[in-house]
Amino acid sequence: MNATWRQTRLLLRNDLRLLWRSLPLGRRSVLRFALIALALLVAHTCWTLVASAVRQPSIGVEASAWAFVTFLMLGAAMHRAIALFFESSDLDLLLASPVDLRAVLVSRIVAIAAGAVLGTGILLLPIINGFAIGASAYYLFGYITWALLALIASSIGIWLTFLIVRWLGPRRARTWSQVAAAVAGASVYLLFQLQNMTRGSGRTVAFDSLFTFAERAGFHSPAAAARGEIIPLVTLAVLALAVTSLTGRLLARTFLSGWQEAVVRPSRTTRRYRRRRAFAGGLFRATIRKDLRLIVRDPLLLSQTLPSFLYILPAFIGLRHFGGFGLLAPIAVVLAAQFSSLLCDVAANGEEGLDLIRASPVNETRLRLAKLAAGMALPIACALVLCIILAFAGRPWLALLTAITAAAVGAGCGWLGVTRLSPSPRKDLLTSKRRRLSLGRNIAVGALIIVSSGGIALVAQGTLWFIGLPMVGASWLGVIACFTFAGIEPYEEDSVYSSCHYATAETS
Amino acid sequence: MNPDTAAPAIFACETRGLRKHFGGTKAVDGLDLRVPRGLLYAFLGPNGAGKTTSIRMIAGLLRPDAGDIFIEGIQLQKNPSEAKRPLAYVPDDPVLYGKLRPLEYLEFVASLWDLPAHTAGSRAEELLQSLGLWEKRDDYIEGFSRGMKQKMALCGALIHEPSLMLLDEPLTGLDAAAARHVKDILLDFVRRGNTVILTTHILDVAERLAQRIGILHAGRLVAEGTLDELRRHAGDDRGSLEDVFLQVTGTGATAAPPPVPDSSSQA
Repeated sequence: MNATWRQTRLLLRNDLRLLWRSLPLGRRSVLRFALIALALLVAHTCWTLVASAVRQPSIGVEASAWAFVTFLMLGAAMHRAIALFFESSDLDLLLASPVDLRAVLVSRIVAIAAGAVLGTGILLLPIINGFAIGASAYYLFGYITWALLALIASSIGIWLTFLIVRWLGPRRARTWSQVAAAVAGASVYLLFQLQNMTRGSGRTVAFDSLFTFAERAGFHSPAAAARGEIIPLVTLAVLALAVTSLTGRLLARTFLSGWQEAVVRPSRTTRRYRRRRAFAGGLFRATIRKDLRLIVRDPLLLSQTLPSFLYILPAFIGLRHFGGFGLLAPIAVVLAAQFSSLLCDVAANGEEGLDLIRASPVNETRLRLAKLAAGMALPIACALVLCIILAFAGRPWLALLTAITAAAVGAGCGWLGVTRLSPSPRKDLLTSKRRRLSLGRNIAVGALIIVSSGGIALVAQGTLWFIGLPMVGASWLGVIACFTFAGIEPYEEDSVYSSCHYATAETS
Repeated sequence: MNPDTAAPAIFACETRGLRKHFGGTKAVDGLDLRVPRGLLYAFLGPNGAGKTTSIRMIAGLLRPDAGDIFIEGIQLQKNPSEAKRPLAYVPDDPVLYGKLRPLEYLEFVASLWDLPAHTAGSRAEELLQSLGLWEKRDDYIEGFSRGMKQKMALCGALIHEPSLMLLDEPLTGLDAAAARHVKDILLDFVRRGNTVILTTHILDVAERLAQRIGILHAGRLVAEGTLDELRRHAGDDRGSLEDVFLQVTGTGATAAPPPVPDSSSQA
């Protein structure tokens, strides 16, 4: 057997093993496997039913779905490329060994593509199988299309990553690659929402010409390949292999010249000194300032939260035809509650200076209240903007009720976030790597959001106000219950993140 | 002075019968420590001796299984807020807020110790200037080198003017210049009548800086005193701290070095 091929296999096996172990699936939890299997079964059934009903959706819809998946894979590839090329400690070992450089690089490219495929598996598997069962067996060519698109996305992802690293350095590149991928993924969705929102107007002409251009540029080819059409499939295969091969060759040249090391520039610093602001007096103000700064300066956090804005808002705006401006009221409440809960959780559990705080004589409750205020500030500001629009649209009383409810429910949900203690590295806070989740608190947050936004929606709708008002009242009572019954959880003793003060300490 | 009427001495730090277990492992086993005010005390010990666990218990970060801790005479378990007021703790790898600028970081730290804003502001500027970080005041801390981060952590520790500073391996990973700077800061801090307790595995640092040295082994304080006292304890009046350390901890026996390939035979 060719030595390079043997080395590639060996390295690939190692990379794939590490990839598998980095997945939540890798931890052999029977319950987790059972839940995922159940979810896949349900998804398969649903998609089979959809496919049986639709038979064959339009090529444009399928092409858009493939474009969306490709963007997701691109994001996953960029994320993994940083890990494998710039953070993996084994790269120096491999490059210093007599292993063929091509074997190292090919195994890395395939591992990145495999990671991209796995990352979209839960989404795509039921769709391909559902259409293969419910519509046509030709949809099984979707698997080949998926793998080929993964190779292309990986190659593009690697080069984009190298460019971002060259510009920003590896640490910032990790964050900004995720931002770029999230925005790119959301852009496909936004494009279609915009099209729906502008349907019937003159602006559809612009979309028509855009889609005609996309069709000519080969936008539909992946969808056609996934349906088993030979020419698009062969074209895609040739393109994928060419791009992968070219990436391998260029990467080898890059590594031999040391370009990837020479390109990393130190962070650019501004020597323009800003005017010094006076220090904030007191723990409360200083903590609010500090936590707000950490929230707004955290692009990773923004990259993980902003897409939900991008996905939610157009959906609501699309419903504008059904509810008029009154629909802004439940949106304001949902935004305030959902994001207060999330950002308060980030402020409390993403605290990086835990040892510093625990070694200080600080009052725990004051600190938590300051974190609550910091977490709520941005969502409540957004909700207030919507309330002001609502007031100017001629519904001032509804705006007032909405503002009060949004603030109250935001505070309640935020309090549940800041009193729950499961400290995690900031980068893992919104991911599945989170150490501990509190089911009870999550259910309470969900119930508060549903009852309050449902109540406000009924009040805004008008005729069912007599049901809506008691629901809003119930949500206020729920908030009072949160502050009464949800106490500050003690830190886990002897863990990495242990007690702030001794649980048995007398209050001074 | 009549010894019967003299007030009991208050130590900067005192521990009585401190114990800590992690599962079945004894990390600290009956630590009795008295550190007088105004000196630099070094904890020495091999890896896993219980140095970091001890210092984290003294800083109030870990609850001991048994025993008492007093900071400036105040019992930590009973009155943590008051006991922590004169205390500063610098871990071996200080986690600073990467997305904050130095002054913003110090603003927050000062607020934790209830320092008035105007005092904190001028003190922060003074500290940054004395530690050579003033020029970096508009940069995010995440871009700092290891030495600069260590200095930043020291600024945070010093801003509330503590009387007892606890440092866990403060010189690890620093280059010669940064290490010298940190040592000077610590000596200056002690010269002003304050107390430093640090852990280190660099014997040279302890030998040159510390007025008193405690040697921990398997969670127990096996020897304590000045360097001369330790020499006498080890029965070796002319030995270096390394000799004393190896003798006291019983880790002096070294394994045979690994065989080195003979290049001439390969040729």
